[in-house]
Amino acid sequence: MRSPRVIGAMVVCLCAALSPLAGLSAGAPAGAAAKPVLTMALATPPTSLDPLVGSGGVNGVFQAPAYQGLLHLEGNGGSLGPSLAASFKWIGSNNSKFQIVLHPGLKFADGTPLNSAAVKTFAEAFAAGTSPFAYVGQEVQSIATPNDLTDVFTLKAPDLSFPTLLADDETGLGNIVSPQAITEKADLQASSDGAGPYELSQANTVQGSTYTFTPNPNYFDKGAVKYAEVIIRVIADPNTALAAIESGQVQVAYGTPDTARQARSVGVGVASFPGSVDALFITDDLGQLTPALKNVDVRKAINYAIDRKAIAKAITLGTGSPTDQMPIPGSLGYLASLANSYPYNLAKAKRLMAQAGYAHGLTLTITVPSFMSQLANLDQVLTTELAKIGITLQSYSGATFPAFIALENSGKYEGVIFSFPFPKGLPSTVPLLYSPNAVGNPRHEILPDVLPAAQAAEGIGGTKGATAWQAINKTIVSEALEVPIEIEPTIYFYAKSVHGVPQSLTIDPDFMSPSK
Amino acid sequence: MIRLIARRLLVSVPLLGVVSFVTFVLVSLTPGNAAYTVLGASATKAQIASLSRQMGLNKPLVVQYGTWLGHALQGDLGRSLITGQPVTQALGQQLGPTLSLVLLSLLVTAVGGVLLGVWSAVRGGRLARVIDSVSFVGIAVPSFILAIILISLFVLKVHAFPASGYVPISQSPLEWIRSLILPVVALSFGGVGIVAKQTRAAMEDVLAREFVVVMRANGYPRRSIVYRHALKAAAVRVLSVLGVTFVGLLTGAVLIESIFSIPGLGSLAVQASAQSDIPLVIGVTVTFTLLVVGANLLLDIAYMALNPQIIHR
Repeated sequence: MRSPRVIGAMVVCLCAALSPLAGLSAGAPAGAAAKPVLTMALATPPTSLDPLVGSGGVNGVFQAPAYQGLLHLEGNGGSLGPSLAASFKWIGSNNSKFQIVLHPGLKFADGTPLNSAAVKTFAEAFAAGTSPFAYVGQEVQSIATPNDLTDVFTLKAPDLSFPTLLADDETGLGNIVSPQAITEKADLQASSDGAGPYELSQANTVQGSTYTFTPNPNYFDKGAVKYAEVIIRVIADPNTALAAIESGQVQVAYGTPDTARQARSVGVGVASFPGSVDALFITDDLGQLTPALKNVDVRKAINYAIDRKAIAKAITLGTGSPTDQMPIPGSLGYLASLANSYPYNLAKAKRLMAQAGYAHGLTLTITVPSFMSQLANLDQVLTTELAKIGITLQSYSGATFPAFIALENSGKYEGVIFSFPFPKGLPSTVPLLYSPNAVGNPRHEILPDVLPAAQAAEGIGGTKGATAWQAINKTIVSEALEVPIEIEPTIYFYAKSVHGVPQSLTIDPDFMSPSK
Repeated sequence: MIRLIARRLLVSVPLLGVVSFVTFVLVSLTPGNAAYTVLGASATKAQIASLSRQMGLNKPLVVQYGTWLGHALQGDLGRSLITGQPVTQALGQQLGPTLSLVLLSLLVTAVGGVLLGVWSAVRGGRLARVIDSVSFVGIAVPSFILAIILISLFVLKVHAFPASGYVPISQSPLEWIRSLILPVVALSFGGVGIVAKQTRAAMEDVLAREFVVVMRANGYPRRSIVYRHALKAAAVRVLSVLGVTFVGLLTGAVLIESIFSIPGLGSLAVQASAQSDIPLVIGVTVTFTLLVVGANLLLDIAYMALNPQIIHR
């Protein structure tokens, strides 16, 4: 048998390995700077670290440390403030000319100046790039640079939401990349060249898994750099993400409804706020595939046949809320009076189906992203609910994102179950659902009661603008053009050592700091 | 032996060709492509078509595969369609964690399974029943359930191990082993049960043979009979189980890597498949194939070392 000495050594090793103290050395090397390390966990990796290739959404979170936005949005639906731009304003009254004035002395990580010409160069490259938000750049007709710090964007058409599109990592248009990197076609997937507080550390980054950012020595506001390192890890399993935050491995992590309760019970901070709207979006409102859908009574019957309260409780485990409209409360176009427009009423739904001449029911085909578990569950519930009024829902699942979008884009289906964030309220629905080329409009329908009114509303600001969007929302709801079901929360977990976890859809480490 | 190795290596060349082609076709046939992934949910059809053209995804399948194969034969597995990173670099970064996980799990499975199996066969009685029960539990409990239980016990209650992630051995050997203990236990638990049962059956068979009886009658020490002679005779059967177990560990690693957030080939495969990143998917598949071919080759060599007659069969 083994000698006692060998066994003793094994025991010592095991004890050392088991010791909680052993882990503390990781990430805190001797002589490290006084600033702490911020480690965040997200569920999916970015598809690109290059704002010109892919920006916004989850990409935006990974790009945020290196590419600070021109403007800053204070929380979900909050007010706009300065960021790389020191000031900003609309010029004139028709929301088509927007001016920004940059902070003096801004530099990119490569040391070259970030001036008005750099903004112009980037914006033009962005519009010509492959970012899904390139269309935002294409809305700009021209950019004037009256001096070294000032840019004036002239838009092709009025767009009240344009300033928001320059904020943080919303679309990428505000995340200025160095003209030098653009000209030299630098590999911005493996490196970064922005004017944010951090830069990508290639040596400590494993694509798809761990992204490490270190302070940018050329950042204009060094006092605002709060961390020695920002690490963004990809942790696909929500339970592991919660365990990582509980054990102190990460300080900020994404959350899910089913882990939120546990997080609260163990004292982890939970930021939960209205995120996206889960809905059955009807893509055949004009009835070209299924004539029944042209009939408003059929669309209303679908809306009445759905028990939104029960669904919201079951799918989001009480963290979400039922809704009959697409704008979330407080956002542009939201109308409190539209809440509960379609209370669950099976008898009324059946009556409407009969009134429309479909007492014996009909069949609808829809697409579902089955890789999103809550939407796959929603599909099952809707199939059961609609069967009660004679509607057979035939679902075609996309198991991966590309597969789902390919199905959706085919235009062969009458509806799609999806979850869209509409951060700016109803104006956000236009490029996603109602523009002829919108992804949620695969049949390129032009809804006569919606699109012209929306295009007109884009040019109206202030109270009048808000009223115009509310009128459009009223039309969408009263004509039952969509079937909104629930507002799904966006949930983030955070350790008490972190201050400033933003209440917004995208989580930006640039504005977080250690708690005092 | 050299002929056998050469033959195995020769066979693996067409095998790699077939595997890469089948993978290429299967991934290509799924709806959508990497352009959809890059452009996201708000992309228009025109944007998708344009990027697909840029990526060369609109070309005929045979042309796309031929181009890939031409480069692959020169050692260039292409670049990820999503990140632009060279596939060989991505594989190089993520092979280490997977090898660490799988090889340590194989070690635990082999040592644990053989020890339990031998003890069970030699001592019998209550110990055998206990080991049988443990083996059953090992086989019955899915690795992901065990992983979740381990995390809640040893991470959240005892705070003994990190919840997730991987530390390279070059950075800190101690942290390397700490980051792998729970994943290895979760991954190897079922295998230990299988190997223990097979070892026990093989040992019982061998211990009942005439030569063992003769050795006992001649006064050979029990330890020598069991560990030197009987175990060697039972080893071929145990090795064949370990060969199959190794392949099981490779596939099981995909799930375990995901749960423990280990940046290995398994999580790379899942991610690449979900994003329709064809060059990366093929790269991972080819690497897995090479690992299986390598493991089988080692197994054959081990068979021959244990029983030289096998080479003539």
